[in-house]
Amino acid sequence: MDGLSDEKLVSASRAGNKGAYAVLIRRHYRHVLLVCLGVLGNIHDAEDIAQDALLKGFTDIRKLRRSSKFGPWLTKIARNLCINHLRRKKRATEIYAQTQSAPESPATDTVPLQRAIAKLPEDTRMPVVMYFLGKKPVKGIAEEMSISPSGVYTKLRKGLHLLHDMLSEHGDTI
Amino acid sequence: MSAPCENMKNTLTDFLLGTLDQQQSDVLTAHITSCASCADYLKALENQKANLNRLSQTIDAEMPARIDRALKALNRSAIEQKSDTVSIWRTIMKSRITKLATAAAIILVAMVLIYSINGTVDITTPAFAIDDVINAMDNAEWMHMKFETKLENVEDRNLKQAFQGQPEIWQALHPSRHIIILGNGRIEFREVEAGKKSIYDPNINTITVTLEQSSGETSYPNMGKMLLTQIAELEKAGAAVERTDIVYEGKPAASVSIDHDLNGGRLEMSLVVDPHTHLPLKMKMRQTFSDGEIVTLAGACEYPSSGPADIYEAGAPRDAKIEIIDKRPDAEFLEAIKPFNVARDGLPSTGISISFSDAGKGSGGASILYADKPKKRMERRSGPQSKPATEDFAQLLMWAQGEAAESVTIDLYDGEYLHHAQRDYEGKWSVREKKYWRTYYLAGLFDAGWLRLPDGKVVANDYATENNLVCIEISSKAEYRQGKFFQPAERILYYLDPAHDYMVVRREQFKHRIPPYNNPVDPNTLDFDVETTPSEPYEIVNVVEFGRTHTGHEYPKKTEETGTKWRNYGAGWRLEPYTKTEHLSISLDTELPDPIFDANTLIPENAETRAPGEKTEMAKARDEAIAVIDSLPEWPEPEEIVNQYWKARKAKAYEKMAILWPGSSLWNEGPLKEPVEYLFGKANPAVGIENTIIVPYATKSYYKERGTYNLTMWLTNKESKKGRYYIYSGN
Repeated sequence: MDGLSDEKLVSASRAGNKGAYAVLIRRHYRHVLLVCLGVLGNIHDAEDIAQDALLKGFTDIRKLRRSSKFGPWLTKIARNLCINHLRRKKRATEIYAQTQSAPESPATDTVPLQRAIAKLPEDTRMPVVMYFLGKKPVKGIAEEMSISPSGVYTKLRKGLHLLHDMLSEHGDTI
Repeated sequence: MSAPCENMKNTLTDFLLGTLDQQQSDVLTAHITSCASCADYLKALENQKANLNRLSQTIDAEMPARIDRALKALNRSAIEQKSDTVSIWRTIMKSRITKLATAAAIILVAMVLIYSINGTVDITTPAFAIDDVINAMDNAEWMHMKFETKLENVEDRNLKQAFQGQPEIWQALHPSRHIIILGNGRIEFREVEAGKKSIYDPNINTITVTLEQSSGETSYPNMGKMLLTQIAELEKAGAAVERTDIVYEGKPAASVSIDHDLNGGRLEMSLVVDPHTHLPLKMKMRQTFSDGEIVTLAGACEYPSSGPADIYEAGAPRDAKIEIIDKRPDAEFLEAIKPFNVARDGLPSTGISISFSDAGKGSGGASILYADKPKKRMERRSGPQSKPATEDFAQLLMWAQGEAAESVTIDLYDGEYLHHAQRDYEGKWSVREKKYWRTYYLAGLFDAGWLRLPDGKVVANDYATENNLVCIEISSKAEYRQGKFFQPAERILYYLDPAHDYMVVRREQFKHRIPPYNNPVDPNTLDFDVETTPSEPYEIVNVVEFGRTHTGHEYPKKTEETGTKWRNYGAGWRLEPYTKTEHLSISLDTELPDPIFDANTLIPENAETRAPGEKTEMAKARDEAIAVIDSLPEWPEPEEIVNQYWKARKAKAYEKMAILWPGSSLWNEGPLKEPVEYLFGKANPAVGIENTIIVPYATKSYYKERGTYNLTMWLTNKESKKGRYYIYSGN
């Protein structure tokens, strides 16, 4: 089943075939996770929302009219869920103030970097995550973000400078 | 660390991103050898990139575990795929059956109203719940209702006849007996457990008694259970329910009424319930349909301790003629089949099968069948017209479910009812009203390899004797409907090997399609049937072997069928050989997809569903085109119509094509094949089909080579007010 096209797998998933959808999950999970990370900046939240997006994708798969566009469709679901998540989080923060901090990753040498990525502005974070963590080509990122490749490079430059500044304050870079 | 040179900051990141050309790199290298700040900044950026790479590797390393968690979440989840809720209620209410004074209609009224009493009714009458009413009805020995009926704006003759006078219903549940006495004198007496149905037809003063093998269970439609689900939908749709205390025949009673807009019409119902016995006392239903028809039923309920013992007591005259149709298998049959049933016992009976048939010339189709025998459920989907890419089961499964299908039909048998949904060429879905179909699952499961039992007789023949097989014959007579040939006489022979769970099915049809369908042996009889014909079968349709191994694997995977078919290419009917290939693959004991066996999944979410009575786009386009044809001052002869059509097609003149072949505009605007030149023959009336003309034609090269026409265009003038012909079919 692994060798089948997205279209065929989507068709089978429409009929309720979880096995076929599992193949789609394996195929698209990494990208969805990175998109969520790009929007949310927190790997735990990203994983939760990616999982929600994948389940929602299965529930709603009959809404997908062009099965060849499964990847972009799923990405869109993930983005929307991320945005909802941020809104909810913002509301919760407004109501309860920030009495509790979010659970953090176990202390590893990449933790300061993860924190710094989380603090990047979203339009900068997305290309940084896609390029450096997702190893996506600039052209692909440009298409996904609907901006020009030179726009992506500009954001990557900005991202690198900002990360450097944040990590320098933290004393981690040098 | 001091800040890098402002003018070099972006160059440093560009270097890291690898976007500098050689010259720019050389300039930067020269700069950092002399500028410590920029050198430090570059080093910091490189460290940062290394950290990002490490983070990327960490994320990738954790990816399988994350995917695994997502998959587990998928498997754990009981999520159902969303679908448009098919309003079964709507489907039912569209049905003519609900307009008839049958048990279905009456119980329907009762159940809707009983359901609405869910919870307590009022403070002045003792409170009771829905279960109380259902139990009370279930425990009543007999229920008897006599109805006053009123039809307004109804043209349907059958409906009018059925509603003459006062239709009556008797019902007892233990054992299950249902008696319907219609106003036109027709009486139906069904004894469900006994498998006996008696129908008195006053027109011919005859009682037809049909005896069937009892399934040993009460398989009369469980209207109550079914309706509870549907009524929940009605409530969700916002039906206003009013509960009041009233005095009925001098006693306190509870009255419940519903007044609800329904499918462009209106449904008004009221029910009076005895607060002590919990039995419905009176019910009334008035339904206004969107087409203006109004049906009113009103009646009082009685609960006598006894009811009619037979059809005579129900009112059939004693001097009525009796015809008995005995469909029960005889003792010999049951004895012969016993070892086979024993051998089959314990074999997997849940499965998916896909069959694909290719009859050549682009014709063919596929069907996928999910069967759950213990639960008597099966779903069949059929549709894709193109060839599958592979014979591999998993891929065939996906293909058969896929979007390749131009049109798709789904039949779902839920153990009692057959639901049917169809997606047309415009991608719209429609749902046909469901039918009560007691034996459908048997026919369906037969397709998956199970044996169809009823109506068979054990026969002895050489093949069976030589191979030590049990041979069962099931035969059916030819069917004619409204004077037209519908189904040929047929004989199916099953050869069974009880020891090896092996079966050969030989299907023979006694076709005789040429009008006037007379029996060539005895011209006074219409067609011939299996029992009386002295001749060999006209056509052996197919011979298929089914076998199942001890592991549950079924074979063959591919069968080929050859035979002859009558075809008419305009120059008269003639027999032509054909070959049909069928790929069959069965997966047994497999997990069936979640949405299977749920009538609500018949229509996928977001699919547009045509409103009841709404014409298809194709039909609308056809009507418009015919109106244009009738409005023109002149109209060509059939041969010229066909000629002009192909000329228009060559010139891609779609508008003209859409008139000459009404409705074709919707599917004609695709890419056209390389135009070829055609020659047209003389138009001939289609034999046996009124108002229809066939124009034979062929490509120039074909005609030059063979001197005959191999293609046809079919024209009719049925819908033209001026009797003008237009194309409606062709190849």
